[in-house]
Amino acid sequence: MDDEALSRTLTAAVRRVPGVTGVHRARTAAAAAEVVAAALTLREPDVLVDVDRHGGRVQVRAGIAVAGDRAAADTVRAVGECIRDLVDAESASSADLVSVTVQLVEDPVPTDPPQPRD
Amino acid sequence: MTTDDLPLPDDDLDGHTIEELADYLDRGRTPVDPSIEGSAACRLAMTNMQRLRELSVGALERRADAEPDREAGWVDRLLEAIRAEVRPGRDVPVAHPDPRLQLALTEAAVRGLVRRAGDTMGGVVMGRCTLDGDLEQPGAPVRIDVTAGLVYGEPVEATADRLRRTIAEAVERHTGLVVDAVDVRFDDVYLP
Repeated sequence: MDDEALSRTLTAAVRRVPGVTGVHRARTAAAAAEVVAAALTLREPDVLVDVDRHGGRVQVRAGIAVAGDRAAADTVRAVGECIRDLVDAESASSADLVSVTVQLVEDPVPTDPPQPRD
Repeated sequence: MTTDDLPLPDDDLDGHTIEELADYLDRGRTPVDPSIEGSAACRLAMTNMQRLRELSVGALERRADAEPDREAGWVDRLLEAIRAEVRPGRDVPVAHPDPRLQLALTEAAVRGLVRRAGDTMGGVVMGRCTLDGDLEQPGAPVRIDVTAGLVYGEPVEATADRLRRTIAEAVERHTGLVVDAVDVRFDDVYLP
């Protein structure tokens, strides 16, 4: 699996972790350029987890938004474990570093839309 | 000088301005702008702005006619505080037994949840929030300074105590930080 496909898999998996409300790029110096690229649809919006291989090391970085009705620390631990386990399973080499940062704690979002009254 | 005194870089809101976000909120967040919705900083600012609007619209309408200059200044200060708080700041580590996992909340996320805790408590509108302490050391004690507007008629001491407890509980629940103290200063009074 190449890095882009791995990132897409990781992005989708992180979105499914209970308590995660959004996946964002880990903040980097290139963030402004990435915003422009995203606006021009030059970058797949589903490829948001950074996968970096350098010198035989695999480093993965992600930024997330989480719901406030679950402890943010619990959610970020679950996301870290999810990424680590997936990289270990999908990649030829295991992850050397998995960095996950909570960038936003949001108000709980109702899972069901309000029902009209009779 | 603290980090809060430093000029804000242009990309704090990932290329957007607080005015653009206000317009976007006015339009009901339609049409959806992926560059705004995909930015944690923009979403943090919009969450706080939206809550501010919901809390203070009545007060704004009542006071705008009587004291337009004072009212504009109050809102401007709150918006400036919200804008300043989107700067990511320091990383607040979250402990994990696997050393390969490096987990954290940004300081902006922690400030945001302090604001959220206060604004949803009732009786106050949150102003500025400052975190003082070695946030980058797990378990280090932290001191939180906040300013807030108080709803007219609410008891000062009891509301301040309730706000301290609410903020401390929220921060400790979400981050694992040890809250040493929460200092509250009411800098305005508004009509409910």
